Amino acid sequence: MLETALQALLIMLDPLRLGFMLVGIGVGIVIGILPGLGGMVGMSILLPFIFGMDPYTGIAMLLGMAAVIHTSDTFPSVLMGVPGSSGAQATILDGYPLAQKGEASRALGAAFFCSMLGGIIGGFILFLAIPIFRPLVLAFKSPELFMLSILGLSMVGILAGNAPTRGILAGALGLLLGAVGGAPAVPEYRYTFDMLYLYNGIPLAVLALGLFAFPELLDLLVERRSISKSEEARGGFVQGFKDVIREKVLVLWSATLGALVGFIPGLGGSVVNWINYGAAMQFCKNTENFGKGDIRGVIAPESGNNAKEGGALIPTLMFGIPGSGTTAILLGGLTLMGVQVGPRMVTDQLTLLLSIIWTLVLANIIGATLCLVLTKPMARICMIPAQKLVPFLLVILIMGSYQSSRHWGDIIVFFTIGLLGWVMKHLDWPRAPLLIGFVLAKSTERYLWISMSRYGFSWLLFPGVIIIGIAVILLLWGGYQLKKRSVKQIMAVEGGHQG
Amino acid sequence: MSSNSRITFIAALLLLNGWAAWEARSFAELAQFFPNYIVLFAIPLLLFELVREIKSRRSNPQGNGSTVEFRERIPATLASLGWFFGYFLIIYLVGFFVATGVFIFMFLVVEAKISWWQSLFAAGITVVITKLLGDVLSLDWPQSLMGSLF
Repeated sequence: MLETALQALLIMLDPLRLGFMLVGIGVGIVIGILPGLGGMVGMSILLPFIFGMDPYTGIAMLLGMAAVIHTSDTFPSVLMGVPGSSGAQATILDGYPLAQKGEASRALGAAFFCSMLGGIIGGFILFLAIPIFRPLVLAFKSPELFMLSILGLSMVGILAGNAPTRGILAGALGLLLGAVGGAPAVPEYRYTFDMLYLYNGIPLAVLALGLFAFPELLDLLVERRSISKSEEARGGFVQGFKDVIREKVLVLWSATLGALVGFIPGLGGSVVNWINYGAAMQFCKNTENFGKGDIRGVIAPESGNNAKEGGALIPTLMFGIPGSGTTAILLGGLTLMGVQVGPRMVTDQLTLLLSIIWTLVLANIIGATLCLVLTKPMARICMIPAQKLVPFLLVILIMGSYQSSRHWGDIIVFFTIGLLGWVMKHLDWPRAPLLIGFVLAKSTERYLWISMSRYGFSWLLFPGVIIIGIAVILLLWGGYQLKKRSVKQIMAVEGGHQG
Repeated sequence: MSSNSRITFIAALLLLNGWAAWEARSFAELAQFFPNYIVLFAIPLLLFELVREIKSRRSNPQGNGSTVEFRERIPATLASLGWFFGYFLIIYLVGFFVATGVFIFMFLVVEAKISWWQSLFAAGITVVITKLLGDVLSLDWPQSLMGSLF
């Protein structure tokens, strides 16, 4: 096995393949920086170029691109409060407040370093996990997948901060918005107003951009300040490195969780980063600064979303089940190059499988290094006054929004959701739960419907369902206890100050 | 924001949920369940939140400092929204590239008080980079009333 791994590494270190990997990484960095564009756009751009390539070279280019999107998407998340891709939504919660404090370089440094570590750890965990998790993933049916969606939804309660009712209601609003479009059970289109645009539902990218970016742009202009409320830039990327080294257990935990959740087809990157963020709030002590600029709130999702890339490849490569649009296009690309995916990848095509893991590792290292080089100049964006920055950001956001369905509806929805986001922000209604509800709406409904129609109510007694159900209850109970404890701590501190 | 705004927002959400339930009556049975479950869950919580907000308003009818601060923000917010609306409108009328050039130029001259030639340069560069990026990434642009003229 080790000999094959070394052989795969030598294949990937071929200068030509490294060159194509660099092309992929370059495209991936640009796609990640531009909000609204995701892995599918990158795959679509690169796919025509793989004709005639050998599988190792083609994979180096395609996966080089996919591996670094979740590294460079941190730039807009931290600097503008805009998710660069669906996998960077949770990073905003603490990354943007850090930028506002003038600590953008620290947040970016930590994010890139733990992204790199997460990608590497994820790759190795998967290398070890393939034989163990294969039977487990094959055993997952609709009831277990439904329960995993419920696990994701339980994060709503944790992320609701001091307003649990409002958080749950925001989550319910997200679920309702997620119900727009085609119903999974029957050929019925809901809440579409007979508009063709809404038949496929509201695009996730447009909703995320509107909900988080639009209100920030508006407030930046109104307050006439730069993104950073602080005049001086504190904490360079070296400080970010130190933070990551200090939180090494969190990095390892988040990367492992990210890789394992990525393993499950259909959950996607947008869920992984929320699960990681919520789990970090459970895992860490003194969580009262989460959401206000706690570096651990950047480290957890960023470690997880890069590790998830490796996990997401396993169902694609081992069972031919693409878990997302990106992996679906990758599957098409592999077929074009004559690669037959399936369980034989572990036996007959082990060198190719290991070369994929090496590509992930190398691309993560190169991608993070390139992003680190860009950190200083990009962090200066935070110091530019709003009047000089906002028009350019608005152009990028309109451009990104429009690419979701390439329909005027994207711009109208962006604006409408933006106004909703602005109102929610100023009324102290948490916006993250709305996004989680929206992300999980389709899978929750689909798996519930399949479970009910296939098993009636008997699925409630499935062992997997019971185990995940207990995990949900423990998570909520643990979250409640931690919250109670942190409120007591805050009151004790305030009491001490007053005394 | 003021307590009135909070109450109005909750009332709007109540109306939205009520409408969603009403609309769901016309769906096929299997398509009704999901929205109905959400609405059944959300409406009692919204009523609870509404009652809590009304009670809080009665206990503090003057509002707090943030109410005044919010009122002061309204003119500037409307002005900023005007810029955003204007940009969308020009995109709709003349297309993305011309609108982007005009919007950046006007915004930088009027809001950022940058000299007209520097603004013109920034607008030109933005349009060129956007066009190049669009060509490389095969991006699409919003259709305008002028159609293929621009």
